[in-house]
Amino acid sequence: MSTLLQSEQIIYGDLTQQSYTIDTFLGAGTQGEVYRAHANDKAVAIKWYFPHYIQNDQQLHQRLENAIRKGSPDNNFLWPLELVTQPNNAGFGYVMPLRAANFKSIVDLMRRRAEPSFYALISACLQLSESFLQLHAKGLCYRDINFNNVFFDPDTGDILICDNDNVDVNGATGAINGTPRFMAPELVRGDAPPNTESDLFSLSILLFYMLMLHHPLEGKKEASIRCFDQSAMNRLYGTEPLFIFDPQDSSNAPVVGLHDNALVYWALYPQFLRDVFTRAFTTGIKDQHGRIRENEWRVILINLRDSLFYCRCGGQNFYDADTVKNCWACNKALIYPPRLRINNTVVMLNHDTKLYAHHTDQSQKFNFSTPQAAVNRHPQDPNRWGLQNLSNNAWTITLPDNSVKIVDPQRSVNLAAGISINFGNITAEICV
Amino acid sequence: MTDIIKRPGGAMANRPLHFFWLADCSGSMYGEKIEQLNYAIRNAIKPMQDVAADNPNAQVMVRAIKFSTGAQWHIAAATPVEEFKWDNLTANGVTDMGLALQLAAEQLDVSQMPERCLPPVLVLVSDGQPTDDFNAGLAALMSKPWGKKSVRIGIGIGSDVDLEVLQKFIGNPEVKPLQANNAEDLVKYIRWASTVVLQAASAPASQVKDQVSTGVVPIPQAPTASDIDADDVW
Amino acid sequence: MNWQIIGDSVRGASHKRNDKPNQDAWAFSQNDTCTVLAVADGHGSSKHTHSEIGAQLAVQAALDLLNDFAHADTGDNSRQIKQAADYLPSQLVQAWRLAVDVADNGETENAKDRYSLYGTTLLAVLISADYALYLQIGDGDLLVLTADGQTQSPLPKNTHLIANETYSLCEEKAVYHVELNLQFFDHIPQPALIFLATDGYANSFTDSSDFQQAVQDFQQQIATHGADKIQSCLADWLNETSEQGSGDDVTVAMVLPTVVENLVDVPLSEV
Repeated sequence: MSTLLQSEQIIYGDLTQQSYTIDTFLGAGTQGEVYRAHANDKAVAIKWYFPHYIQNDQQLHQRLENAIRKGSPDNNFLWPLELVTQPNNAGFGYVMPLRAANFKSIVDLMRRRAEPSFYALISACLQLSESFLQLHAKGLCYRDINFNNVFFDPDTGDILICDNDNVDVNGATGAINGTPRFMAPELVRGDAPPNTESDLFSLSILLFYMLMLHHPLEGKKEASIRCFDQSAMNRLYGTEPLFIFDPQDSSNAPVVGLHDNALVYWALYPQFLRDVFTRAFTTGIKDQHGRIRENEWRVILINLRDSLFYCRCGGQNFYDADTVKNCWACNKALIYPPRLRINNTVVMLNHDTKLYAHHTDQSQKFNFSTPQAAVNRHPQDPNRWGLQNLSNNAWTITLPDNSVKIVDPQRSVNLAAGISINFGNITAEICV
Repeated sequence: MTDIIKRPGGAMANRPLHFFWLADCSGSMYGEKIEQLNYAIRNAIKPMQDVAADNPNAQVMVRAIKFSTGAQWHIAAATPVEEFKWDNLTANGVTDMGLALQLAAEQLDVSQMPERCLPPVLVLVSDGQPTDDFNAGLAALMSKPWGKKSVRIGIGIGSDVDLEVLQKFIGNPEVKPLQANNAEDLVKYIRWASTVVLQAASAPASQVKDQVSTGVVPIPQAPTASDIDADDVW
Repeated sequence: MNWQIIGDSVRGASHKRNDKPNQDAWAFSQNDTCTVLAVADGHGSSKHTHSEIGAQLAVQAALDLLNDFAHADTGDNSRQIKQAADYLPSQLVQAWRLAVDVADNGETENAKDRYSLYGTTLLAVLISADYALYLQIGDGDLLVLTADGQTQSPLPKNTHLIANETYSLCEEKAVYHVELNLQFFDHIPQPALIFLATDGYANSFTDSSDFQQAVQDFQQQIATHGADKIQSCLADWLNETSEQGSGDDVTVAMVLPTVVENLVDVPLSEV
């Protein structure tokens, strides 16, 4: 097979003058080819552009140089490290970290070749929101969020974002407008160029896809299209976009037999998630200012993860303060585990639940680095469950009779109704 | 606790995409040309399967028609791409290209096609001039709604090919027939048609500005005959 | 075979007048496995203010790198050695940059500016039992004298640059301008003399044939008078060359097989 670079070929890093030896061809896209390569003993990935693509995208070189100078927004990006060139060859490419084998594509998720738990899946969604927040906060725009550019570890929910060569300063004119099905309607119609707000729309689509395994605009209207061609796509995603769960307009509702995933998952998630998706694809469809920002996604997704609990059958369900549901897996009435009410949110206290500084310290929102508390079992009495203090500070607990006790580090408090725990600057109440 | 149960639901909903090879097996293809075509198609199977596996929007089904004196199904049953195999073609006879289009048209009839589909892809490979009524064949194809909606690619082998006929078949002035003057180009073009075009017809990749935008779906730029030579770039 | 080294470096006549240091550097190392010799010419213009240090760092980097290369366990066959040599340009540029980073000690923030301050050329040769490896970036001369008295240039003479421009270790794409040649002794006989000189030396000859003649004369003189004698005279000759010629720093260094015959005491003539 003819590829642009051959194995054992050496190319050079522009910045470091490092020599990179090509190992194997990994894949090709519309812009170029990706190879596995090594420098000294370190494996990297190298993307090498098609000559015709370089001609079409005049800003590519400058854009990559800017990205390399700015550096990666966080560790979740397979960010360009340096440009690579070859003597006597006008072509170029860039070096990026190599994706580890435990990362699967979102396509694998869609095709059910990767089966993360709800916990890992929501963690992946959360990390995506955080990484795009970092990118946007740097004044950059990604321009092409879609499921070919994101990878995730089905066990942990860690994510990697690749194809960062389209990233540019927000508002810059670029070569890429996005990927159909993910582009904001104003982009599909050609009314506006990509920007941070259109990235936010694409992010909402991607999150919906990941959580529901379905596109939020593919309902009755999609079902009525025989040949799904360009004009059909333009209508569905551009000129007549309508959310399949639009509360005001059911003309694009999911069709049983065709859009079953959407129906199954929509019912399964709690109301607060449905509400935020509804806003994303009703007001957010028409008005760029109505789009859900990453910070709101972070809060919602953390709450969603905290509301997970196990049915006796093993099925994972979500606690929904607004409705009582049966388990989706065994259809029996759900029995709730003890839970912790922290301000307006509820954390389910499952056998494997851990609390982090995010939960226990007002000043450390979004800090999930080390567990501060964990559900455990009484060493002598396996029927007694407790919450163990894994922090360095003592907790003050108030019992229903208003007596006060201290829970020193490593000690546990009984999971009994009516106990309130003061972690320091946050007080939480145990409900059973 | 019991083992964690998988999340509910099935794979993401998708649509079938019907892909047709239309291969010229006339006498002039005898020898090297037909063997090069066989090789190029076999070479494209794995990349085609890879593209399909990475595309959750489509279920790719492959069929093939051969034409020389008359036209016949080479692969009659719509075959899932994962199971697609290529039996070598042999060459002999005249170039009844029109009949091949008739044959494709029959299968693109509304009665033969599933209710909901992605645009079908037809790839026509030939080295010469049609010897039968090409226009009647094309008219039959275009009389079918699925024929009209199809994405059509024409690949010419050698210098005797009638590019005008291929252009008529393509029916989109922005997509030009590809002319392969050597085995290497043929491999490249066949691969392009079976991967890039396949992808474009189902889940278009990142939209590059200024790419061909009319037609049923946007067709990305085809590889040039000597894409690798750096001197061509600047 | 055993190899001996003769060489010296003198501060240019004009550098003495302008109170500038000798911006050339040279050094060699020898052990059981190999002989390595390197010569560098730090850039003269005023923007390369630390080029004399840059030249010393380049020479040291070359000695370390080539010595390591000769000792590395890359395998015996010439293909494996050739493949390993493909990495030398990049390794050299990186080693030199690292040494500059250390020497600069945070003085110059911008990397491009930093390397420019220390800009230098480099010539180096590595001789092992099986091969000779020649390496060059920028100007300077590297000539090989064969046993039958022919002179050869193992590295291509760069024709892209005009006048006094030179490629340099401090360039952004320095790695592309590192010339390298690996000659295995089973194909190409061992040299009778390898001659390295900074451009101040060749510039004092009117044409290249005169320069080649001078190299042949050197060998003749060494054969007649012995290496020690030539070594002791070399500095004086180089000073004369600089005064009468370019006024630039001049450095000359040679590797040649050790000769053990008795020498006759013949009066020295000018080389």
